[in-house]
Amino acid sequence: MTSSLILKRCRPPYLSVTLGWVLGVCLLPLVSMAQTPSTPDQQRQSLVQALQKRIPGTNPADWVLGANPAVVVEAIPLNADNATNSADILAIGKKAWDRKFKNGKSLAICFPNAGKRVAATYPQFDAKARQVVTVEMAINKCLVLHGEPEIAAPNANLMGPLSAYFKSLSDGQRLTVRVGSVQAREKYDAGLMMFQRRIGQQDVACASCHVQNAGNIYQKQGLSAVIGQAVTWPRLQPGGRVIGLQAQFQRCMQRSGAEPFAVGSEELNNLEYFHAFMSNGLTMRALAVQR
Amino acid sequence: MVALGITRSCHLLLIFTLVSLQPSQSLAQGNAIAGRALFAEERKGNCGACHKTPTDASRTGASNIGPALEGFGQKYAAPTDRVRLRDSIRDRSAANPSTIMPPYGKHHILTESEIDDIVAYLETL
Repeated sequence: MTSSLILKRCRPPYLSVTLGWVLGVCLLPLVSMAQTPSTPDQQRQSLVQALQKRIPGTNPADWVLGANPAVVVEAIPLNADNATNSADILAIGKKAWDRKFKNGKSLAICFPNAGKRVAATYPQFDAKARQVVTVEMAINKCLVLHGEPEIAAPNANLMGPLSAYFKSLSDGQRLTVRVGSVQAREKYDAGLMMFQRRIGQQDVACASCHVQNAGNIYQKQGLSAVIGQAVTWPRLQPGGRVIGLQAQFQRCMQRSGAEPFAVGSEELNNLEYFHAFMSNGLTMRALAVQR
Repeated sequence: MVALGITRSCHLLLIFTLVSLQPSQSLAQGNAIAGRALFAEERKGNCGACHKTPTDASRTGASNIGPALEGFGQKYAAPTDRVRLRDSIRDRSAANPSTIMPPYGKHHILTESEIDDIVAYLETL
């Protein structure tokens, strides 16, 4: 059976659940972060504690390359695939980053400090636009501002290396995503809800695997913990393809038997916002994981 | 006479309702060979994704989200246990709302007869 058939079959009613149903049925068995009026920082802390109970003797920094090194490490060390390595990808990204626009400027002009140590603060909440802005959106916004065509989100061949290079300019920095206003909190909460929402024919949530079963083995591979995931994206796949975080969200949704939201959609942007916040304080390592 | 008719109708409705609310009671004999294929098929049972199976050489690296499936034939030998096993495959969330196990029957991942086939295969383990 093709995946498109699976997706078509699963469209209703599994993704069109009502908020009440989600709150009443789906979220209760999972982590209860959304049910207490705690701050995002407190929620992150309680999630750290829950994961440390699941994977004793580990800390968030240990989860960056896979949740449970004692069982099976999900991550494969970089450069295991000789065909392509991170240097090749970053060189492609740098070339695109340094490319002069028709007006003589380049992407660096749009970011403070020419983009160094900036990606570690993304996703950001744009108060004027009232939306979450990802690294990829910020790059496209800059391109459009300077009369250049934007890069289609699924165009991993160009956006992947470009966002990898931008993020590599923050390597070694601690991820510091801010949720600094009521409006930003709404987006964060929407992302949290998406993280906990059971979807698809398989009836699973992101939290089912990456909280409830973090460190366990699924399909012969260790399930990573949600905390630590955000700092290593984008990822390099065997064969040299770069895959972005939202493309991975889509893969998980497809695996759940649900029709995935589009890359760059409000749903996935909010999910990325919550997801990145959970890795706050961890050190950025773009392309550190190959899988 | 009318009252008797209404009472009889109510009884029929009650019986119908009770039957409808019963968990799956089917004890149809499935095909273990077909069940084995469904058990392994990624878009059907894909059971090995979460369970250690008898073909996994060792526990190290074997899936461990659900219980290991060795000895299920003995464990669920009694007819009532078999119904319980079948119901678990059909919709595990009815008994355990926080389960990660897909509701194979409820969400039409497997047909009722395919569930019978998988139960038949599990009985051989």
